[in-house]
Amino acid sequence: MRVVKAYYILNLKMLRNEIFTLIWSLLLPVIFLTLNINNIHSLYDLRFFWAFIIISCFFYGVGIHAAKLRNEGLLKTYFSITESRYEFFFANILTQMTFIFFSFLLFNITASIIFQFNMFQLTYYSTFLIILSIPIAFLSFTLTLITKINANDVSTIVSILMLVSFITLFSTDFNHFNLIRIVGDLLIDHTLNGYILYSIVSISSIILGLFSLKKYSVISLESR
Amino acid sequence: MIKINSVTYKDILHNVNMTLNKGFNYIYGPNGAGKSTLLDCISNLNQKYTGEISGNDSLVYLNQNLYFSYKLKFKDFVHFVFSLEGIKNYKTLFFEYAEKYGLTEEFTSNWNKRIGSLSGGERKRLYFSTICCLDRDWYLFDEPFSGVDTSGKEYMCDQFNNLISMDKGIIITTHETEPLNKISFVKKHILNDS
Repeated sequence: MRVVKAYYILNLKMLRNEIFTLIWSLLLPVIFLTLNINNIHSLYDLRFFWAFIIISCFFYGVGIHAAKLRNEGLLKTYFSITESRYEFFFANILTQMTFIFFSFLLFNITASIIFQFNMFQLTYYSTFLIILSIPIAFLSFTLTLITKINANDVSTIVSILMLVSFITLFSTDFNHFNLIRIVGDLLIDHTLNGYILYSIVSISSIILGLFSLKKYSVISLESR
Repeated sequence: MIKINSVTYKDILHNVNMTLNKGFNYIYGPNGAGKSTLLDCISNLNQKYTGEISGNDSLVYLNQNLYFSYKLKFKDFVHFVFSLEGIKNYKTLFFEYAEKYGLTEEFTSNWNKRIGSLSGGERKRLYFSTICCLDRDWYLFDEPFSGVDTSGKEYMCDQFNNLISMDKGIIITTHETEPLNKISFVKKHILNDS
């Protein structure tokens, strides 16, 4: 636990040092919300915005972040002191969950002001969605298995896929494969099939993530 | 004792066999011989080699190229490393060490500075000092003298002698052999391209 705490505090210090990026990252979903006022009719319509924030944070903040740090050589310095891949991973998840929580706080306050939604319900459902989405953080780590493509290019590809996913959110042709819709609908799908599917996908994601973590090497793929 | 048996990695290391006893071990060889790669394998950073390495359970490793966010402060690095060890009174311990080697003034001056604003030698001294505060059986140093001035090299050699007197093991790679004259007994191991 102490190693997780050490990485977690380090991550928060690094976030604090990028204050403008941090503020912009917190404000962007709020701006997006205000541009889509006419599309929001109930509290549950916000689930896609929450899903977008969660998926972005976990993919960029956990998987892609680990791939970039590897290539920069940063992890070699950390792991030269103590081998701590699992603690590093869990600390990153905690860091992203902290960031998501504050992002949701700002987002939900804005939504409650604009739409008069109940703040307690917004906080409850959005926090519940964070917890349900933790397997996505594990899934994101599989990106570190991609060795033939540069980490920055992987980041760009993920950006494009996220943008396309958001744009095609309400298209019936693509929404079966739309991760934002799949995650967002976790809040409203209370069928037995839904629970079974969620369990299977979550367990598979966690297994794949742990496998990726076991295979993860801190040696840079780009320089010796 | 660290035993290296038939270690091979890509086209960099070929069937390396070595026995390293406690004390000062100097691994030397030409550029590209695989010295840094060998240290990566000994430290378990690189686990993709074939062969066997034993006796390397308790060690710390100062890489040739060190990376830590330049936006963070000197004290953040010390705090992070000591936190990994579960050490709470990191500032007291660190300055006790600094006092032994006459570095109190430098470290006090740099304590709240960003790592990016330090010179290369100051950064190396920070990393080196912090790592030497940790209690391990083995200390690995890859090109520790690189970018360090004469007084810095003398300090490092004093610390090497101190570690040897505590029955620790040191493994070092370097192209600068002159500072090694200050070490009481140097065991040399050659690693060449073949």
